[in-house]
Amino acid sequence: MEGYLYKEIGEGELSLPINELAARLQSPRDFDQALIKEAEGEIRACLSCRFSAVRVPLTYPAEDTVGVGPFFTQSRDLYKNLYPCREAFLFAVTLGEGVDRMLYRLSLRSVSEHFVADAVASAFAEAAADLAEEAIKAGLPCRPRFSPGYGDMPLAFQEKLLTMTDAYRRLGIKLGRDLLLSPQKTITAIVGILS
Amino acid sequence: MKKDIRKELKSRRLYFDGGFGTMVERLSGASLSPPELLNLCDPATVRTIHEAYLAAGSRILTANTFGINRDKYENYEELISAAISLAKQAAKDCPDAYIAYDMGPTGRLLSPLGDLLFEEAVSLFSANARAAAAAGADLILIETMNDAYETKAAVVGAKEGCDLPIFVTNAYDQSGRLMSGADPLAMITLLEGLSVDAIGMNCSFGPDLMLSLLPQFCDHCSLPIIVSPNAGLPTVRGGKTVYTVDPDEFSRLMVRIAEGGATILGGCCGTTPEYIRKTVEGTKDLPYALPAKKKSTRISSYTHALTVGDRPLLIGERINPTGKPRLKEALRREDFAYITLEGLAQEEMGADILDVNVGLPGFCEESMMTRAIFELQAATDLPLQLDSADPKALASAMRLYNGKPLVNSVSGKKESLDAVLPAVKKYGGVVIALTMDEGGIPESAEGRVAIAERIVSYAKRYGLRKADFIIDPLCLSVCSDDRSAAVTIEALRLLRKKGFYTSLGVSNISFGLPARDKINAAFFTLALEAGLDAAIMNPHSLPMKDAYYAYCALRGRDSGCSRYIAYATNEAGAPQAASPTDIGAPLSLAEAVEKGLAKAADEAARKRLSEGALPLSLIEGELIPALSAVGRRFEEKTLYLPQLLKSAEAASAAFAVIKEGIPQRKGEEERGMILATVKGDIHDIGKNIVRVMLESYGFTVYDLGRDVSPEGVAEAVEKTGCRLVGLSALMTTTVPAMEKTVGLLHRMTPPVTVCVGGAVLTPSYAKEIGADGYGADAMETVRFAEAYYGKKE
Repeated sequence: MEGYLYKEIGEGELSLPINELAARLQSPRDFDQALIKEAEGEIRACLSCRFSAVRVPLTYPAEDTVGVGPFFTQSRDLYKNLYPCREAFLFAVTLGEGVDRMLYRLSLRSVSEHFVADAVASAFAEAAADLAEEAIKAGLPCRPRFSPGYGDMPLAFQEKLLTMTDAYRRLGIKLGRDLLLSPQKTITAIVGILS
Repeated sequence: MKKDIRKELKSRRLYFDGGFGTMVERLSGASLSPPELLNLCDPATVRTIHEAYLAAGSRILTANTFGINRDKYENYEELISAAISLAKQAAKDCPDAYIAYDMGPTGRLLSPLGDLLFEEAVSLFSANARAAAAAGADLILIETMNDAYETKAAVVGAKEGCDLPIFVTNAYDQSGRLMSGADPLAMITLLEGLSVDAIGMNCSFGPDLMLSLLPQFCDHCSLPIIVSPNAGLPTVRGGKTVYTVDPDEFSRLMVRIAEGGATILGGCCGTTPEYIRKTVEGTKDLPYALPAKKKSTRISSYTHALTVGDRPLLIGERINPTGKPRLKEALRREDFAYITLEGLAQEEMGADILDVNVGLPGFCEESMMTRAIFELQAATDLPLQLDSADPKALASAMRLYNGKPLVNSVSGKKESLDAVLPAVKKYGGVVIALTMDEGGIPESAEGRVAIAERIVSYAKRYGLRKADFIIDPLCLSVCSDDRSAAVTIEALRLLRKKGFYTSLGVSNISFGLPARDKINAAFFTLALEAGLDAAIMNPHSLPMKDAYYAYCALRGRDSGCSRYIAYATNEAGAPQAASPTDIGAPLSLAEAVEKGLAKAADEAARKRLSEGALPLSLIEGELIPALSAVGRRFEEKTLYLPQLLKSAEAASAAFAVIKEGIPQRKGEEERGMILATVKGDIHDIGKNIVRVMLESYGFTVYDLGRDVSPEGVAEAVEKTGCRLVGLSALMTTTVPAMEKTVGLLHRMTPPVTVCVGGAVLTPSYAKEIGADGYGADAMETVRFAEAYYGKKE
């Protein structure tokens, strides 16, 4: 893949990653199925999952400094993850605004339902990121994906990733003053390509 | 002198230009830096692009200003001036070309889901508009927004910053809606209400998608229709980004779009002068006409519109403090969650629209109303009816409302019309007009109709027409005047004959009588038969809904009786989800808490109280032990957090019932705690868990919500008198705000005790910022609160 890639992920393509969910619920894997199923149903009903990706050159002007396209960031952890890859895929994937509104409504109604639904939504977001990553890599060997906020990668770099993936126009993703993404269930990432 | 573009459009088709980014790439190579900077550092390229589009046949140039606003650029005025000047220079030999100021989105999401306040957004946009007008733009083009609210802020801002014509195109996604959910009819309703000058679509993937959405515009839009598609989607060919739709394919589709009724044509991402040239060639000789003026009465929320007259509409009346002590209490405590839940409950019971009345003596209605609208809009997408006797409150609510609202109400009194109608014209709205005036309520139906006609006639001076009104002929209680039902029904009939739409506060008819629902339901049927278009009623009232759904089915206003069937099978029988309490004997209070079943706990508590159990013995003997047992199992890890929360919610439900039976002992204060997520942070699950746990142990919680400033917390302390505060923060960036809040609270007298918590905090950091306590989890916070009150006794 070169240039841009935009794709929708159908609700049917997403399956709920149980381990991911269990961790967020602070519960064991085989825990209350009925509660989870109900929350899962509510989330699935308002999913609108899509991703946008782009392939960019990488440069390393100094130790612990990475140039992603025309933008630079200082992060030892990112440097270790990417160096010496010469290119990377950047992508943004989102579950859409409908999920945010549904979670907000639940937060008014019941903290327990909100807690479970929020965990389910976050788990789905991770699943969506996995699917997006597979589609983008298309079999190319790559580094593990790395997101702003991991390790010492500055959260502020989020804005540059969104610009480069054209995330506003393609996915309607917006960034708040305190660097919170909207829709909230959105993941952005860098995936270094092994030559 | 160029003609005003609105006049020009009457006689000929105009063409926008095409994409800018693709052209920049062609001329000066690919770049990921913002195009607006070129206005200062590479003006020649900008001018060349404009000239190329003019040569291709564009006669509306969009200045290179899409991403500019005061937040992003301190020198925004300079950039805007440069951009417009470059467009004018390029057009110097084309006196019939128009220069549009291109106003794109801020890239931020508006509150409440995001952090950009509506008024902040309006201010950004009006600053742009002012600069645009000063620089000599001919019109404002608001484009590419995928959110109805931001679009409204942009239109309001543009109108407040200048007097230029305003065109608006939005970006629809593949499902035919904006990202935030609005369909074309909702946007048309909103934008026509705001009196913009042309409406349409841009960006959004490709001409084929727009062709499929075009009929919705042609069917409903009375303004010129703009269509500016992308050249399809970007993809790869030979290492370069190419768009999937080539100029020939593009222009073929644009011909169909023009034949389909579009007025102004242009191009967006991926298009170049070649696309425009071929489009002009293909469409310049096609017959041209502006869309016909449609007559319809519509309101909208941020997702959908409702057309009055399609079928009778139900307006839920429950958000109104009159006769509702619990709602009054909620308003006094600013517990807007209560208000919102009432709204959601009415939605579930079938309301099409929610009436919002929050007038309380001694309280500022304007701020109550705007807050209520704000909160309701976050949770529900039902259209709202703004209900107030205070014109200022109405105007502020209309301004903030995300859509085109119902406005309740005006009367025939000149003073009422002069106070309310200007805001309706400015922001758009459909007004409920009560048929009463300085002389009171006419006794005859004809008298009421006459007032309706006078209101509509008077409203012309404000630019409003008959279709902007719904007439309420009022119904007085039948027990004070036994002719009152007949007069109202006759008035409805006469109004319908004269082409008016009507509404009624149906339950007024039975005021003072016993078993009100019986009268209400019968009267409702009579009124519907006489032509009632909208009813203000209680959606929880089954007799009224029975009458409504049956009437609609009988009168052919319910295709295939499908709504009736859905209603009847839902109410009558199949329970939504078989709850365990339906099977076998009802659960005891302790069992309901342990199983986490809130409804069962509520029922068990009521049953025990009705059997004579003492409230305190229920709490201390059953409720608290059950909760403690659950807490122990949680600590032993035989029960997990979601279950703990459900149990806590069940206990809270029982507690709420039991508390009503406890008289407040003299001298004993309630045990309260103020909770807030600090400024800059919108994560609130942790705080909400603490709230639920505290409430389950009988604490009164004042939940200030999220993103609360230090001053906001201090104010709450003053207002409530509660001197125990819990602060939560999830993000490292907001810990300084927490420190500031702690400091401010500690400087108050008497001093406030602060407990802090949240994923980002540690006991040592809590000490560092001066907190009095640290809650690693909800239970620790509860224990801290218990200890605080224990010490005081």
